[in-house]
Amino acid sequence: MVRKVAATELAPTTYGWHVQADGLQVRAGRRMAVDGLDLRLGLGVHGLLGPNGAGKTTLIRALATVLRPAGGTLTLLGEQLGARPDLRAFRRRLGYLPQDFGFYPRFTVREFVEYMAWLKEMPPRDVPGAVQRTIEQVGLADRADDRMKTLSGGMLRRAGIAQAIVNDPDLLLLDEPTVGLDPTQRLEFRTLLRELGEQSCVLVSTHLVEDVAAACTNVVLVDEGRMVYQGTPAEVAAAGGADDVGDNPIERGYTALLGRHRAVAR
Amino acid sequence: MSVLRTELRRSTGPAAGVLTAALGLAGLYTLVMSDQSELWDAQWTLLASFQRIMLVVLWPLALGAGAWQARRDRRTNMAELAATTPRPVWRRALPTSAALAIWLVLAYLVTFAAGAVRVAGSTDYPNAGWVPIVAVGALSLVAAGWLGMGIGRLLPSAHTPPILVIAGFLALLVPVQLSKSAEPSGAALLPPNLSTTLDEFTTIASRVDLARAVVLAGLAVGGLLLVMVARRKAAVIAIVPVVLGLAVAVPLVNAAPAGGVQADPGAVAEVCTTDGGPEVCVTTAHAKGLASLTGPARKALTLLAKLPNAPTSVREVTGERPQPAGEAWLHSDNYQPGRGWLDSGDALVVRILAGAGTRPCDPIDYRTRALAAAWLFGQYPAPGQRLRPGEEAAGRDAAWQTLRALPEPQQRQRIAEIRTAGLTCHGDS
Amino acid sequence: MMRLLTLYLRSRQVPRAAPAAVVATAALALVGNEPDHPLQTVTFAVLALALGFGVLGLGLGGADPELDRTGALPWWRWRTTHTAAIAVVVLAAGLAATSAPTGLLVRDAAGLAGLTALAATAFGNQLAWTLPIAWGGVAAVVPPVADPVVLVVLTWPMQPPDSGVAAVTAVVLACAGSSAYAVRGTRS
Repeated sequence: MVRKVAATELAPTTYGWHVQADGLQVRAGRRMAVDGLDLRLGLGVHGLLGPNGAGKTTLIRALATVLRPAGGTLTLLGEQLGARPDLRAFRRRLGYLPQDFGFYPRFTVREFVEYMAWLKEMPPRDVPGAVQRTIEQVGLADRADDRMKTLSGGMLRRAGIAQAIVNDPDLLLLDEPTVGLDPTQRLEFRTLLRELGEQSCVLVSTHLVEDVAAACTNVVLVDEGRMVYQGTPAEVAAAGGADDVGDNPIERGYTALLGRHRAVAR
Repeated sequence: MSVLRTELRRSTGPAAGVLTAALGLAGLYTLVMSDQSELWDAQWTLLASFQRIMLVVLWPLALGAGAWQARRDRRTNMAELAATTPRPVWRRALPTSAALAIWLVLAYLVTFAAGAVRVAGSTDYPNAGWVPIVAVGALSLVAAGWLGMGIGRLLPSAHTPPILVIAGFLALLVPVQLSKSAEPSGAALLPPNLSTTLDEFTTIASRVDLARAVVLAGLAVGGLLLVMVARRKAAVIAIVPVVLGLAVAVPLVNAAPAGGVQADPGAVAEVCTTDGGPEVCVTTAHAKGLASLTGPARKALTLLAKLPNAPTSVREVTGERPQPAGEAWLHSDNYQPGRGWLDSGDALVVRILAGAGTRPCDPIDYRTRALAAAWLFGQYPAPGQRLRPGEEAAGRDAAWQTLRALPEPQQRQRIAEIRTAGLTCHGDS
Repeated sequence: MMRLLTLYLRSRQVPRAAPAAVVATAALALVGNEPDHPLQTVTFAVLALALGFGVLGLGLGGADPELDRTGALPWWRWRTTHTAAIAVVVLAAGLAATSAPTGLLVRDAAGLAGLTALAATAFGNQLAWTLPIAWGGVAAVVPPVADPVVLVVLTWPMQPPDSGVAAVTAVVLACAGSSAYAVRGTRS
């Protein structure tokens, strides 16, 4: 389905990086989960990898403006998040799928995505078309009028992706989007990711390294709240050798980079 | 707009509305089943006020429904996702609040409509006095829903709904219990549920209902503010409309009559015959009975002419004021809305002649009144006066014999004395 | 066994809810306790019992009923015991605080416990408070009459202890509620 492209979308962006973080510090509970992170993200699909507890989810939540940074600077879509930022303009261009995706069970898929579109202050004229388009993009067109509580785990995840992209966000944050998707659906999702990466900055946090290898233009590796490595999937794969642990080149590169970083940190 | 439609279908509103309507209908029709339906089907205002009595159950449950609705974001984990969206909290709260209010009001009106079907068949007195009564009742449910939502948002525990419902029951119960000892007055009149019942000739004092409406509006706005504030610290602002409402309402209600009821002037006003014969009047609430009363009333007047200072008109009254000597009075209890006078023909004449055309005194002396009627009618026992054999029947027979044993002028004087006594006693006020 | 019991109680948030429920029930019953006004005493006692069950009803289900169901425990035993336990706890709190007749309190505790279990089965543990509080509250504010059987059943918690209809109603609710809950557990 072809949609109308607004003039503002064709205008060049006035900022250099979609996401710019310097010495970012974010607290999660009592721990400083993100501790001095420097990050530059532009157009494209960025995969966020790292061990559990590395601060991936905290980072994504900070970028989604759920959490306020405890230190450092964070500039999102050209606007620096200062002391009392006006987040409304930024949030209209944001898409977010949390790891723990909460929804209203009695709403149908269509009603829920429409509701999220309303929450994102999309112009009312555009909402029905955008909702239909996104539901088809994630492959839920035949379940669009079923209640969310009747959906399986993978379909719920896809509904979550639909609500995240309904407003054509410039910054799309997906935390574990492929949980519950079967292999075919994962392939379709990778295609969708690649499409989205042409127009916006997408940050995907995932444990599934093959997804990262296939769909991402850029890999960000974090450990204990700090940046380990940022580069293309090919560079990550090249960093690994035959004697590193892993079933495929990316995994081997991942283990190698992590090991090297930890050795240095000690 | 489509969000409102979605919330109307998917929020707590439908369940709350259906429950409210079901309980209301059950309350109305339980009385029908136990044959006490005249408590509400005799008149429009009676139906409206009975519905207000039922608020003692509906109001606390509406509080609980609001508190349950307020927990939705927490229960479903939606709070985080919603926090990343630009739409402000207050704007987000509006469709949900509106949906709950709409469903509660609809349920209240549907219950009224269901009862109205019966009232339309039995009442003689169409009037619009029910409109403010129903309006205040509907407003009270909206206030309960929004207040519940506000408190539920302020105290998001899973235990808030049950505690709030019990608190609601207590808040309404205490004035009802107090009213059992004396008539409620002052601030005890403020709860929206009625604790005193009305009858066909009384209605809620308009000041009292206005005061209630003001308090309820304050509660509704306060609850809505609690739902709409973005930060918890700003929740203090919700106190302002509540306090304002109370400040306006308490003086109003302190100046109101005790019990919060007043006579319904429209129902008590008289409707009289205009055909030139001796005047026969009934209350407007019983206007349909005028035609069937006229004949027997005029026959009663000719029979009463035997007495000195005989009355020249018959009036149906509720018995509040002193009876003038020139009138014969028939108490309003002799008429049943929808069914007419309790007797007809000669038996109705005898009813008018009871106590020689006076309304009952307090305490009611049935025997003397029956004797006077029988003497004036000229027949003992008069039509409609049959008693089962027993102590009372034997006593009456004996009194009748005593009366008939007197010389004729003295009998007449005796009956005249009965009439004078009936004119000057205090009636049932 | 003790370890399992401890974990079970903690999973149902009982250590936090039980003292609060006891205090709330006792306090409400105590506030309304007027030996010279038996109707008021009983009204507050019924509301207090309903409040206690309303609070404890949440513990009839855990955070994930589906997960609980997959456990190898004989759930019907645990559930029946749990229902009986909350009945005893609320009854004890009521007995200590009010001078309402003991027979009335025992009957009401049994019936309301059954209603709580029934509500947990039908609507889930977060809505287990609905039936006992709604029915208890309705009965508390409607004048208890002895005449049409329908109204006696409707106001069964407030009927005098010797009312046969009320006792039967309470027994039916207790059995139906606890057996439904024992068999099916809370709705997820």
